[in-house]
Amino acid sequence: MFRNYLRPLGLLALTVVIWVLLTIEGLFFPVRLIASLLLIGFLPGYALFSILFRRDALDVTDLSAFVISFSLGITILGGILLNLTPFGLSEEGWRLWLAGFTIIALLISLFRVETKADDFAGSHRRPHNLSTSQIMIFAAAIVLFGMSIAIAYEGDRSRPKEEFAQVWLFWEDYWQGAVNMGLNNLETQTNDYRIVLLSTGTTIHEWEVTLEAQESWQVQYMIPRHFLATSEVSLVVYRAGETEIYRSTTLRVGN
Amino acid sequence: MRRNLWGWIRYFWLWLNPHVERHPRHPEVELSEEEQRHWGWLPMLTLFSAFCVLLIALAMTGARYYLPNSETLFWVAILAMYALNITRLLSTGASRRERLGIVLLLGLSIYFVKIIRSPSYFSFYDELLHRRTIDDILTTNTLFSTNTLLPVSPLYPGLEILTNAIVKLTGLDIFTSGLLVVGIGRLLFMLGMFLFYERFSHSSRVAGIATALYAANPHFIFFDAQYGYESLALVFALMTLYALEYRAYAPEGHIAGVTFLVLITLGSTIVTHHITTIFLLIFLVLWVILEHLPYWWDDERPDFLNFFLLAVVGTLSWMVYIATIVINYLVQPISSAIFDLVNIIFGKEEGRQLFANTNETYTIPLYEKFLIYGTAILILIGVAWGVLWIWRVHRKQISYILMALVGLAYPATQVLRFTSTGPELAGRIGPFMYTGISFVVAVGIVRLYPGLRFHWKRHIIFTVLCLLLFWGGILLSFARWAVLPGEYMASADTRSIEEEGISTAEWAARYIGANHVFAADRINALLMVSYGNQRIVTGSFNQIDVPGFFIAPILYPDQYHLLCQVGIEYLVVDMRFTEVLPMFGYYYEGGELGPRSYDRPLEAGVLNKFDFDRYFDRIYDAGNIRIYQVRREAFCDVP
Repeated sequence: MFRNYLRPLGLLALTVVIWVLLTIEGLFFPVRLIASLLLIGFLPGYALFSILFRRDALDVTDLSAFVISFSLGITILGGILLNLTPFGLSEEGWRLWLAGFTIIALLISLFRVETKADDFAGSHRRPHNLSTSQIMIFAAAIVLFGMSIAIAYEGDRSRPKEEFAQVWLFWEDYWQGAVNMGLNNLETQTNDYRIVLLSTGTTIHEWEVTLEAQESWQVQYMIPRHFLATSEVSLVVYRAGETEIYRSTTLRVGN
Repeated sequence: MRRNLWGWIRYFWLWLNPHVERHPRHPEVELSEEEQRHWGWLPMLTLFSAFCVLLIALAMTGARYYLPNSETLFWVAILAMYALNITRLLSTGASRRERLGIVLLLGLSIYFVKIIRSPSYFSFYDELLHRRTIDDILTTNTLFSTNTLLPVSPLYPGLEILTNAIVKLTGLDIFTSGLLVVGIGRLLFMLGMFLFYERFSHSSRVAGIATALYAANPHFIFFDAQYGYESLALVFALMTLYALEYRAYAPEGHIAGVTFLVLITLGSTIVTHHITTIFLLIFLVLWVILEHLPYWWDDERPDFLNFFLLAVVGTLSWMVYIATIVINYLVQPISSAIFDLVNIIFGKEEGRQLFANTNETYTIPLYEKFLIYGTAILILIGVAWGVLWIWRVHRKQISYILMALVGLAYPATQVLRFTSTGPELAGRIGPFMYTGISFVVAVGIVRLYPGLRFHWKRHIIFTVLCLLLFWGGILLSFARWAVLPGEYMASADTRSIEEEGISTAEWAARYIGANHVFAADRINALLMVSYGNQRIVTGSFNQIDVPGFFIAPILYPDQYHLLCQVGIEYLVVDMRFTEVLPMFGYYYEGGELGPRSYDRPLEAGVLNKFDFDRYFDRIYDAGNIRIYQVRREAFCDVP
């Protein structure tokens, strides 16, 4: 008779462990991932299932459909409820809802544990019947699926594309003449730039900058007052050794 | 002569209406208990499908590197994958376990195609709309924020709630979490569809074939695999129907549990997607009507009236209390399409030309047109044949009649493709119609190819026909140029979303701050909303001529006035529009040139005008994309 309580008690313990684990900062990522997905996609649904159905009442395919649907639905509808609480859809709120729901449901299901054989046993649970070679074939298939994703990801990341840099210049404080300017080198190699701050053709300041791939340069600069009487301020960027303008930005001054 | 004719009519009528049993079964080979435990071809099919997916990944990568024959490799791999799986599903000797496994494998493999198409970030238009919604929820931990490009998205937050839970608990990023949500949904969907069809037909063979035919639905490969609310809502809608059918014949001890499942899945559908909920209601109302007709009345079977009423109350309550704007959002395109259709019928308007080119650089090949027309004809023939046999053999089974009615609605919905506003509507109806179409066609197939013994000719013929349906479905889903990645194309959704646009939007979020008002073209507007957390001005939402700011050679005084009135702070200008034509016929919004269409790209001077206008500062330059700040203090009455 005690054997009938093993499964709900085991799941109860698992839920509590998951709840505790998910409160740990810096938890090993694969553990966090598995624990979270169990809490979202399986445990609440199975707990509810345990209340509503007798043990082994369903075929494994129907069972899977019921449990996953229950779990996802409990999560979604629970999110609507969480929105009404002070927790909101925060991490704490989710832990409380999903683990709390599961624990309460499992406790209720303990009262429903049958001590005799199931009269409605519609289970047609056949053994999996997989041979070693079949398992190896499935494993090889999983490896191929994984390789496909890896090839696609790497191919997308390193595909030939127009590389570029971002340049900007905007007023940080117009009345003080403070500007925010910068350059992001979003190319895949180190580049040298000549950056010139101009006021209607007159150079205010010039910088020679070397940026590695994905590196940024940013400056907040106070434009001298006498340059603010002109009509525009520009930031012009040249690649080192070139005379053609690579990037340019312009701010008008005055009305 | 009349007597002979009458005799033929009478003969046909008797042939059409033979005596039928209440629950006839499909003739199939009865497998032994030992045979039911076998996995059959599934291991090798899994390996083969994985290999095909690998080839597809290589093809997509080849397309990214502009290698020749990448497209050919893609089509060969995906068609081979489908062909081998459908051929096993058509066979007579596969066990239920194997058929279910193949169906799950097929669904997952096709989903992998979508992941491989966009492995690094969301690149489908609707995905980015929902990305903004999930981003807002993650930031604020609350629901029902504002999304200027898709205002109804935050009001149906089921997808984003699930994603939020995964992001918060696992620490994964939005993109990976979104892939997980839709992937789990896809598996559950295939499982649910198989079980649903199996409950209806009492045949795992019919269920397997029908589910595989559903994969030929044009939305299956990309649209309903993307991070969008329909992708998840379909799962719950299907599970609702499955649970209702299960409940109809469930033993007494299961009634309460299945009722709970109906309530949970119904509630989840209602809060996830509006259109799916409405089609679920339509399905339920048909079901309720049929089961109350005397011919189909069954004392042993509980009716669904209570659930239907509950569904109506739930849907209306959500619309009235939460999602009021959805009424106009749905009614407007439907009424527009219906009015167009009526005008075409009465000759007041010309019908839309099918396969009309919106871009002269791409012409649809002749074989593609034949394939697409052929797919439509095959579906019509398949549905007609299936409906005929449903009536002859299964007309006392309400589930069959229900599927037949859904399948028969297909031709009527496709007429909408001839209207100017109807093609998208006709396409959106597809996933729901295919629920009936695939079942009806599967019934028709097993009628011609019963599961009693192997016929190699019929096997090959039906494999080829199913393959043609699948091929045509992919071509209907996306223009061929959009199926594979490649070089940048203007206003071409997945072919337009790339690093420069994304990084520009991220730059705006980081350096300018969030919730500023932007005006931009179709794609950069989308990126600004999703990655940039900005607000976008659109013609439909703000009732102003946004394209006019960009494509006019100069700005007129009333346009400056509009800039002030609407509060536009920044303009995004994409200089690539001076080099390439737009793939959908417009850069900014449909109809921006009125009745005309672009025959050449925009003039550089048109987009450069802001550099010579003292009311605009060019504050950002990334080469192709520039951001201009509107100097509102110079000409607006800013307090």
